[in-house]
Amino acid sequence: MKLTIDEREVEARAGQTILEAARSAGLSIPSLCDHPDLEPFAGCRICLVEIAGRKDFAPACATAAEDGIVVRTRTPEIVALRKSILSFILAQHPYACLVCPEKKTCDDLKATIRKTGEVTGCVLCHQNGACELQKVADEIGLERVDLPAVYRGQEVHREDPFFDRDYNLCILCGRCIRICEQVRGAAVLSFLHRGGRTEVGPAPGRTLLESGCRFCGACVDVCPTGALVERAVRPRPAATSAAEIVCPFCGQGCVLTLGCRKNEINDARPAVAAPNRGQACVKGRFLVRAAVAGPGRILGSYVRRNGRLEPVPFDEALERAAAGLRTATPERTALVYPSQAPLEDVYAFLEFGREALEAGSVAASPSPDVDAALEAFAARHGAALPVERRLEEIGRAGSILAWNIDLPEDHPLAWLEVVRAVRKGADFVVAGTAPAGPVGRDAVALDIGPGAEAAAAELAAALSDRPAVSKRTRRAFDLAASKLALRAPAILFDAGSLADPSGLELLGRLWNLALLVGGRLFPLARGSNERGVHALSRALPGPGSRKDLEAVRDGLRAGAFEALYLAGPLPDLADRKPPFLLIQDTHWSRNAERADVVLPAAVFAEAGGTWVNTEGRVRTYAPALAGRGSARPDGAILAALAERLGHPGRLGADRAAALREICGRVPGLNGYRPDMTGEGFFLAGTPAGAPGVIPLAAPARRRPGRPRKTLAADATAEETLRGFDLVAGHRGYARTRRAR
Amino acid sequence: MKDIGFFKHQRLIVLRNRGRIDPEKIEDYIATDGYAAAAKALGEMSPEAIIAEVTAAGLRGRGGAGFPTGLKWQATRGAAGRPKYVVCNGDEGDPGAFMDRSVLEADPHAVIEGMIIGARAVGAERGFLYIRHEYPLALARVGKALDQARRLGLLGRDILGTGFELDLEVVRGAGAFVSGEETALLAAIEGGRAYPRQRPPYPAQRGLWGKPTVINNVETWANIPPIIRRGAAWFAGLGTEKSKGTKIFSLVGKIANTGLVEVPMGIPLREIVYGIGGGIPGGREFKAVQIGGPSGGCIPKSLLDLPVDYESLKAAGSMMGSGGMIVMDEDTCMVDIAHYFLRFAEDESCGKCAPCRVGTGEMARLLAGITAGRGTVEDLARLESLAATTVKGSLCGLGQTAPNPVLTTLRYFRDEYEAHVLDKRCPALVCKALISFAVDPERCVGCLLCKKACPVGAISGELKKVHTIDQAACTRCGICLGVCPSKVRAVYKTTPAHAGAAVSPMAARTAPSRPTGEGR
Repeated sequence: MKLTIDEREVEARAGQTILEAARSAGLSIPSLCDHPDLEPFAGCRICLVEIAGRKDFAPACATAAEDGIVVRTRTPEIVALRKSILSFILAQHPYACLVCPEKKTCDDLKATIRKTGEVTGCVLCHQNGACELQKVADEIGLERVDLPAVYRGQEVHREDPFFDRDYNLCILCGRCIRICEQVRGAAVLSFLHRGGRTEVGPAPGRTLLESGCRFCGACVDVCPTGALVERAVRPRPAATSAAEIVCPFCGQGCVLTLGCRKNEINDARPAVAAPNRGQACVKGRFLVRAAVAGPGRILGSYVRRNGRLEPVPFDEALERAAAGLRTATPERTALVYPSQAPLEDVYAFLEFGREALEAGSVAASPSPDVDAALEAFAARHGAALPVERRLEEIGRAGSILAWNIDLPEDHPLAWLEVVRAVRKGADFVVAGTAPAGPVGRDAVALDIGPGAEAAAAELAAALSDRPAVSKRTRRAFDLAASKLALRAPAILFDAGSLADPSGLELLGRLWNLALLVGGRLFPLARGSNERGVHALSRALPGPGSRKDLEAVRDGLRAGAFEALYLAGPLPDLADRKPPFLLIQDTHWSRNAERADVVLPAAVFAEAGGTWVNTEGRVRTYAPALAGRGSARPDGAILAALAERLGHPGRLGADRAAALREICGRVPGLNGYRPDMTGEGFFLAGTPAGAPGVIPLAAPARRRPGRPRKTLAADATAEETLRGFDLVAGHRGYARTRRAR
Repeated sequence: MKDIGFFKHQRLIVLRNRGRIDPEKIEDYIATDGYAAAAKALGEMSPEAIIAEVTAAGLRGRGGAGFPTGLKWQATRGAAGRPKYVVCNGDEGDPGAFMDRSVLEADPHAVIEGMIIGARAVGAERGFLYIRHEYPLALARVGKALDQARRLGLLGRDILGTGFELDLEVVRGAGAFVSGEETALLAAIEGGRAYPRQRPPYPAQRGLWGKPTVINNVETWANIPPIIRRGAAWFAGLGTEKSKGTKIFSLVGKIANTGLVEVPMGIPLREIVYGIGGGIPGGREFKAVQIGGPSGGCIPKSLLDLPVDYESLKAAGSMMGSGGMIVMDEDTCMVDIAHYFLRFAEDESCGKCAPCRVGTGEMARLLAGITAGRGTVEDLARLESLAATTVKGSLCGLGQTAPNPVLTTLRYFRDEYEAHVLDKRCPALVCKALISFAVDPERCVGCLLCKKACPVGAISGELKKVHTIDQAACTRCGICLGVCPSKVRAVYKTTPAHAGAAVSPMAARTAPSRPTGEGR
């Protein structure tokens, strides 16, 4: 359809608002409360326009574009009204600097730490220069505000971790409230009171911590003013460069934009790109700086002398490391490499372990788990399960079954898709504990008790009208069945869902359920790069040399190893430390303190490289920062060490060459190039078979008791990023854990 | 009844059963032709025929805006989406207005019957009656009426054997004035904060939970059964060309007969005030009548012959509103009245949109300054400019009409504003900062009553000697005026001697009086 905006003919799609149509045509209509990720609010009234033939002015953000309408955005009357409304908004916001002719001089000369701790003007505000209110005021061109300034005089809220809330600067656009509810499904914030006393906040008298806030930071990112600002971000001098990285904290693989100044990170903000589209979680948003520049980084090389670790030059440490590894028998040498590392480095570890070390045991920590479970299933039943990995498919599902999985915490993007689907009308069934907030509250929750497999069997019975196993819980299962039947549910699970001795049987039952209701299985990887590491380790030769992490840990318990090359996280070895312990890590840990040699590894943002998320989405990024201290990428350390061990050459530090080799050897990565644009590249999975209904015996009645060995690896893995302990490494993060 | 002035000019349609039937007995309602219209609509009429009848009757929304009810129903019927809903707006928040309350309490079945007919016309299966929790009796009676209707098969499945299905439930309002705005009311039914939404889309297209919804006011619904039973032609015969039928007003203020009056549309204002209301008590002079609740306007004496219909009221700067009618006499200060209503609007603004949130507060602040004697002549222009932004910029009807009391008083009583800002004088002797109390030496008998009563000891005098009030110490509480015996009446209010000059510091510090009652 076509409409006319300011004498220009503009093309619009059905469902677009006038504001969207104008913006996609490159026309500007100032607005404040509107945000592309949110439903229209029409509260700020800045985007009011005139539509020929309608008696009232209409907000462009909330008025549908219609064929043939004639819109004017700059008539003298509209311009005057817009100025007047802006002055209304500014009357309740410290505006002196906005209309002051001396502001530029102040910006140039008075850029200093704040004296008052109170923001009474732009030059004292963190958002100065990045503020949307400033931009809108500039665009509208207000010279003066005729109303008396009202400073609300409220205490700035500094009691919560990560960010401050200064509601004296709030213009009540409601973006924070709306993103919390509409996008994050949390609804922690609300408008409070009424009229001139209206304010924003969590429940009165409570902190965000006490209100169930997950500190995803979405509210901070959408705030158009300085009311919500990340704490301890130095606003000036501004970041001089921006670099995109893939968040390393979990399997979702959000793209983050690092604002950097020299070699320091200013802040990490979610990029408006797939898969996260402007969203992140507490870890990506607030912990990147701590992980890179916080205390506890290993910044130099150390060797143990006279029982104490002493700093030495890198070459000397390398020499000691080589000597230690040489003295150990290869069969009694173990290499534990980090799975939370780029493919190039993982590849270097695998090749190093096989060629230079000829190690008896090589394992990844944390070990890739959901793919391992699927592989075990395929091995048992002779056919791989057809699964769906793309997160956006969850948002399109007609109903969702989340099987014993903590979505907001472990799979934040999958959770956002659930919120999207539910807001579009999908039904949501949760086996286990439902997430906090309105979306979880409206879900049908199934009590799975101690026997998850029995619960799945009960749900199948409810779906096929077979008699109940347990009369007590059957009503909930019947309700769930009515929500799932005929609505092609997305069945979400991760390795934790299968963390049960009968995990494979449970997976079989979930598959049978999917067959019964026409649903799809969505296995979600918890660890960052977990899928890439799994594919890579499966593609490389060397049968018998790779055992899983459990085998290494068994070996350590049995004292089977003479040397351990430890580069991934492991629980404290204590007195099980083998005779020679080589640590290559980013952060100090109990194990590093027990080491014979310590080598400093670069963190994710310093190393750059290729990461694969739970969807199989492959991305490569360049190093955003130089290594702190003498930290260097794992691949470079391994290349130097290999040379000392007499294997020079092939294991070069050339990361691009390494990636080319990887793509050649891993079938699922054939054809990937780092400079790919467009839709992106997805790791090709193993071709699925066509398993029919899996025949399963009635689930064994189990008493709750001591858990036995399960499919899931170390459950604490998510709270560490290699040697960086998230809880110990950030006091604010530790407070969020305690509040849980 | 025909002999009593208060009743003889009224024409009861909506209030026909008031006091004549027991509202808790459905049998009483049925005995007065109750549910005959529902039976006719469900049994003999097609939905299109019902809508055609309502359209032909010319019924317009009684909640204030006066949108033609038939058109609203037509739009809802034609809108895509299922299920559809019918909603009754019983959130009567205007101070001094209790038309809806009376209908809900005295004749709940009339509203229910109207909703059954409306639901049939638009194809709704579910409905809600949103009633404010300050009306406990209305809530109880409507709840009871719904139970009775269900028991007799007038609600539920297969109503009256016609296969039509409808159930209604009561939603208890939480008390915000803005909940009476239709989109805010729908948000409240959904369980959210009562925040208005931008229209269009109108509720007829996207209402409750995004589905087509008819929302009408209590009085509108109660008009439906008589229209269906007696026909559109009969109804259209009442009232004026564009405003048909009757309207209930809540007649309060400085008037001899107060109460609910139902009159044909188009009746001259004078007839309501003098014919039904019996004029102003105490021999005082009529000054103005505020019509349409807090966002209505004040209509002056010169417009007393104005016919009461939607268009005439709008042209005069007021509005029909829900039908509040507050009569004011010469002792009413129009600036003070405007201040009172703007304080109300400021307080009840939901806070969502900037023009209403800030505009009402700023206007109230300026008016407070004027009543306190701090106003300047520029303030009047500032008021007009603030009012213009608030009217044009606000999201919903509350903000768009909130400046009406200021705009109409500025239009019809500008001289009073000018007296306040130029002469520092309150012509009605209401604004405390601009008046003084004095003792008439001719009348004072020296009884000491006022001296003893004065809380600040501002009165001096001895027994049987003339008392005097120390103006510097006086706080203008008015107690002396109250205690002075009615036979004596020596204490009187007056304009201070220094009017036109600066006001005494004491007076400037004294807060302006905030009206305590409704309908002063």
